[in-house]
Amino acid sequence: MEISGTIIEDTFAEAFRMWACRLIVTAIDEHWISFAAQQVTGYGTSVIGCDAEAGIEAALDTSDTPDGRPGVALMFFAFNAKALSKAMSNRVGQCLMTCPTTAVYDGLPEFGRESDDKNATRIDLGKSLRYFGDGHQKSKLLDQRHWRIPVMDGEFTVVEDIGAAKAIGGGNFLVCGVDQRATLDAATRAVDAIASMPDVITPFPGGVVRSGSKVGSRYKALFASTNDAYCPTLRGRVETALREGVGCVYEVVINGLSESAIERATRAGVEAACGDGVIAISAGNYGGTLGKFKFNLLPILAGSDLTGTSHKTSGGGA
Amino acid sequence: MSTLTLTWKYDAPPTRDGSFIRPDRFSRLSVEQVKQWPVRVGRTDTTLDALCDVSGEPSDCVVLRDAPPLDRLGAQMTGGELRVEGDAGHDLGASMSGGVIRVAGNAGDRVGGPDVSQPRGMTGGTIAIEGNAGDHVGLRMRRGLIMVGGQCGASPGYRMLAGSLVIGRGPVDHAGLEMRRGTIICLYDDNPAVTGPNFSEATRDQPIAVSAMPAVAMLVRRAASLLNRKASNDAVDLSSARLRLWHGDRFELNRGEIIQCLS
Repeated sequence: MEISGTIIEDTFAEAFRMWACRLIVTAIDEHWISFAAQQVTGYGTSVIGCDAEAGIEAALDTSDTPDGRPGVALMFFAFNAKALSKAMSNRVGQCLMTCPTTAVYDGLPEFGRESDDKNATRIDLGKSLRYFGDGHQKSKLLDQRHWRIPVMDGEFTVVEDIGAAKAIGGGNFLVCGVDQRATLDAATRAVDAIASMPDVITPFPGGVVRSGSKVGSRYKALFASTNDAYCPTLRGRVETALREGVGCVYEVVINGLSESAIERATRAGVEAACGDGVIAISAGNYGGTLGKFKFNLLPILAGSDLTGTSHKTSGGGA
Repeated sequence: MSTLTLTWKYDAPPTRDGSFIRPDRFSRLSVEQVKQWPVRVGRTDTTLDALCDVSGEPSDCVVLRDAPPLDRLGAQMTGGELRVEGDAGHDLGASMSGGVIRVAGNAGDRVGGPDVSQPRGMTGGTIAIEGNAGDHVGLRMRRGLIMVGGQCGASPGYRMLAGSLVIGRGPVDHAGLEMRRGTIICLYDDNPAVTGPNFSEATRDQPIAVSAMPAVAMLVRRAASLLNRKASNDAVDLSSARLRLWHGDRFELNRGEIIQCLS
């Protein structure tokens, strides 16, 4: 298959079961929302080394937030609900309670209400953070209980608990281009296209990964190491997976609440990435042995309006 | 959404007690069962269809039309929605624990207060009154939200245990007297007549911005939505409003608060 002249490889992305939650964070203006969002989603790229994978899902208008202030929807992913709970308490306590004017609300309020629901649960947030109020904290029950913790600029409002649901992490595709500039531009177009989609985040810096990994290492202490088959500088030293002319590869990693959300995001991202300077779109997998979910590129992109359109070469080939 | 409409008959036997109108119970019945719902009028046992014409489908929402201001409407209600297209009498939503009551007109005394033989007022749910309310609104309420679009009578929030009370217009006479916890929000500019030395003002020198108390903004927006208004169309524009805040009643637990929104 070709889209805008870019080859879509017949392969699949391998993804994993994770647990996710969504926070609605508001603040007095966009300036402070930006700081709050950057802080609380910081150091949240991969659970290989971080407590959670985090990203900004969408900016919210004043009419979409509980307190009528501008806000942002953030998503967080971890391997299980317990790890997610610990990460959220730490991140909200250290990054949002300290940030001027912020308030924190639940973005998945309907999740985990049934005690026998194995696909969702509730995790504590304000329930533990409230003790910072040293006895002066108050609660307000509006659909959910919200804790009001007195702080030096007024009150920090935080919801008592948040919904967490089974989700999927590690959906991905590889943008294989002729050089670094063209490939990075294509990956950026893909991330921009995904940014407007609901229920997904791209947790890596700018949504783009350059250090794709393979399972295992020659060093015993590491269980993941560089994906040498896709490193252009190792061509000739190792068995390469790069097509002729590929001089750079970037990976776009997508975490989402559901398979359909990741499929939609993958399609939008790939369609945006294809074009000048992009030779092929591939996907990262481990032979199908590790991940529970497989996202085959060809079925996802079947029926794309751009399928089969011609490739306009940029003349910058390797 | 389907609704069950009860239209009061002009020749209905005189009664003051409206506690038999229960959206939470009617939703599980057929129309015929609703019509045969037992009602006691004075010393006489009768059925609901002797008082009202019943139309529509049983659902969570019950609309009451052309009725006199009945007392105890929505008393001990646990869920569903009751819409009163007119005035309500005393003890509206007495000891209710869930659901929504909307009154298009005025309401009497002790809105959300304790029902007969009950120690506490409402313990959950929401009451929205477009017009004015009588004395002691929120008497001993424990939880839930009361929104009065107009004025309240004497001592709104009297002996309030917790919960939220939003008042659209002033002045307010002795708000929050003997309250233990809870929040009373006044959406008008003139002084809320805070009751003397038992309340202390936290914002004595300088009112604070609404943005410093997001929970207040959330409450006001919710209350405004209940009355189908935009918060900015009320007496207060939330984007620029400032707040005065009193703590009290200091002769009780001193954890209650009265908040006035200044436009």
